[in-house]
Amino acid sequence: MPYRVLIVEDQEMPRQLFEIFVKSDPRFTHVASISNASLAVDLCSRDRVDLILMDVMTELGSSGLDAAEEIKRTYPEVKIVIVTSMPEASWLKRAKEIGVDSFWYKEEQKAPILAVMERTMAGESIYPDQTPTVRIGCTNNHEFTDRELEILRELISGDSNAEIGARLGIGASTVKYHVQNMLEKTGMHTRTELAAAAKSAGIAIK
Amino acid sequence: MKSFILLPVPVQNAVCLWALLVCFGGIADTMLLCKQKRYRSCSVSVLCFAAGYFLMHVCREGSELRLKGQALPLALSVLHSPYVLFLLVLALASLVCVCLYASARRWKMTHITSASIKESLDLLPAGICYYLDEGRCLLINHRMNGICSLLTGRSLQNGAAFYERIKDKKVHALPDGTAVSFRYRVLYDQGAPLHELIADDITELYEKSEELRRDNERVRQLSMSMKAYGETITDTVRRQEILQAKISIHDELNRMILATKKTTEGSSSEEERRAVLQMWRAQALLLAKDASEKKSRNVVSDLNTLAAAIGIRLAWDGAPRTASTQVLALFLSAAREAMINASKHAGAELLSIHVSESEKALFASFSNGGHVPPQPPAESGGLKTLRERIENAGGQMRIDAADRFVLSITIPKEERNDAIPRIDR
Repeated sequence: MPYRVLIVEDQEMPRQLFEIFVKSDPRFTHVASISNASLAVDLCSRDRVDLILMDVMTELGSSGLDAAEEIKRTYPEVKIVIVTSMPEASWLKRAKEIGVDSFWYKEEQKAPILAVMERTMAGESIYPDQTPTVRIGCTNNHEFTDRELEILRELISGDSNAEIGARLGIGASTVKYHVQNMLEKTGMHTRTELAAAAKSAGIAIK
Repeated sequence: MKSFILLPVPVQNAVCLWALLVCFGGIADTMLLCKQKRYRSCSVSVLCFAAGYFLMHVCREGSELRLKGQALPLALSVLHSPYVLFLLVLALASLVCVCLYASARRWKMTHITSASIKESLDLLPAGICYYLDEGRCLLINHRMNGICSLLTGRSLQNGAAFYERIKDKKVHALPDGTAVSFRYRVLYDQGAPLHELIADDITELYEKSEELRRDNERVRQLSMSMKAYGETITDTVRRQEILQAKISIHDELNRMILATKKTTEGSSSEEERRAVLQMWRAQALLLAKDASEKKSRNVVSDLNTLAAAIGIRLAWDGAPRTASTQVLALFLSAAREAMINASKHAGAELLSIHVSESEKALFASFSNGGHVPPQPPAESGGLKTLRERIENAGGQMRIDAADRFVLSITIPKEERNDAIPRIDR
């Protein structure tokens, strides 16, 4: 009996590509495609779903990871593969924490999505070793510490060191120290330049 | 011994001049010592002055009478005394004058007086003024006078009036390019109030503050740019994804062209030809779609998908056209709630959705053809949360359960727009 697949992807073209992949393989049946992750739980409750291909940033700002967490809590038997193109490290970490079965980077991973889906349904948990390497200034995203990435995510808000520090429970001088370290690593001159580059590269998304 | 009167006239005149100098010295010492309130020393200096004056007077009178050939009166018989005595008295008076002057200078260097206080205050970069209740100034230094002149065009006459004029502003930028900040407090001298006004020179601090303010403004503008950038970056990334997908399709088309060429040239089976045809159909379907982002279209599509899964049919009268994420999210939540309630509680198979929009708001109503509840449903769970969300966004929600169950919502397109017409309950 083919596995029933739900696709959650807000962009029409990638969604159609996934549908073509799913329909081309007799081991899978396409149940539905939606653009908003918040409706995925309703669909799971109404229709039998074996596997969900879930984007992280879906329509109307709905988070695929939030929806995945709820689905895993309510329907733990449903397998979920997170598909994304953003090298945001916290997503990989959170996906593991909430029990997402597999994680697939759209452009970086060599393994085809169908193979990932098949292995996931066979009980494997397929995760990349690390986020894709993205250059940012003179360095790459793996050279940043967790704390630096945390501050980088807040830096994009455009808030002051004191405001960022208050949110993270650290002092403004600590924030300033980490920002300075990141500027030295990347060779960038201003925090604005740093934040813009990080956001554009997708390594710091809040 | 030779008497003074027998000395040559030039010598007598020289002695007269000396006596005059002693007079001046005595006057100067007397003034200095009086100022220092050293009255005992002052009396000594007066004696010096008197001695000098007396000798000068005697010399001058004696000379005049002699020139006229008249005899000297008894009063001037002192001129017959030995000249050494004259010189001794004058030398002694001169010595005392010099000593008193040196003493006065030394005393001035080692004692604080009101004059020395004023002198030292005049050297301060800050302006200082002490005045009484009625405004009469007791002490003002040069700087405070200068500040008052720059601010009011006049020298400082009334401290209270000047304070009234400057008290409302924290920092005063002066026409000479400097900036001052005033401090005020009331002191009590034996119970009597004394007002102290100090003007601190904060020019450097003011310039730095201005520089900081300009920098902060620049940072604020950069922050706003950053926030705007943060809002658009998601779209940028999506466009990149679409570009990647287009590249994939391009590669796929190349692969299909090769497969088609191979199929048409060689002896391919019917099954192979069908497979190639199926691939072409799939790609054509994909390319026929409009790849541009249509949030509202996705919302309608999602609701249709959910309705199909729930087993309910949607009858659309209009569709949302707005691109506002907030409005569409609320509309989607309302439609989802109406759909689930229609299926779960009313057993409906059809949900009619009417949507219309104005420049300011989106109006929508959801009515189902299922059975009507005997009494208006108590709002709890999903409906309660939905009402809170809509009202927090400045919108309104109404439930009618007379003939049909109808959920009506109004969602403003701008946050908290009070101009939205109310829905009467």
